[in-house]
Amino acid sequence: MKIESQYVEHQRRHARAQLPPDFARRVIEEARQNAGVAGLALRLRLVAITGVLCVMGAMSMHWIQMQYTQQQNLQTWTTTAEQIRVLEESI
Amino acid sequence: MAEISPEVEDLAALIRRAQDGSEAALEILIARFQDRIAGFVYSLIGRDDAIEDLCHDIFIKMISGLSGLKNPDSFEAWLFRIARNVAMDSLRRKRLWRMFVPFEPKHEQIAEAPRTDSRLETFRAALEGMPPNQKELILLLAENDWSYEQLAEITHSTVSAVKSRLFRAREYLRQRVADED
Repeated sequence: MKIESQYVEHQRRHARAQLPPDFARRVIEEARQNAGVAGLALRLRLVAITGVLCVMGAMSMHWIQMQYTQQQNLQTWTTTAEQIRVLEESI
Repeated sequence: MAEISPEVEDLAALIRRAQDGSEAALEILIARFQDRIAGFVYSLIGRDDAIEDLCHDIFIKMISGLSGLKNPDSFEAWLFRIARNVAMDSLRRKRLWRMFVPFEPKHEQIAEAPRTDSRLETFRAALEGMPPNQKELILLLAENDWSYEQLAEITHSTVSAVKSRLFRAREYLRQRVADED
């Protein structure tokens, strides 16, 4: 047997003793928990993104509404100002 | 519980079953490779207090990435690549930590190295004296008869770099072992 192989076998024997007998089962259980946490995190992220999109939508609608109202008010005021000017000139 | 003996089932079939979501297959797969991976990690990092945690990380990564593995024949190289990356990251973190934390003996309370015969001890000392990127190649080749291409893939390197590092590593080992004799 080559020295490298002997060394690897020796290291493997020592390392094996550091792992618990149910190592594989523990890993699988943790992977399952991680998948559950990842799924929950994904759902929470979706809820958060939906919430942010709703707020942004409401703010956009509000801004558009404000712009429209302002435009309407300006037009009304322009008409009123014109009427006042004509009235003042006629007096 | 795994219903098929780990030694009996063909590796490719086992990988395919694990990819299909069989926990029993995953358990057999881990059980089949855990000793080799633990030994490889231990040889790379030289400490036995971190073996369990690192092996845990390696197999968790294996489980999460297994569905993306297209060719079951490359499984072993792929798994050793994960193991190598996790071990190297651990070494890097350890080096970084040493830069910021003043050395105290309590920080290095590692288990005493297992007793070995003198040839193995010489070999171990020679391995410890070589750069990690040469050491990993010697350890990988002792694990399996990888091709240069596979070694390059596992170590994120090129074939020519692998050849040159391997040549230097073998020369160094030969020299060291000859010096001890």
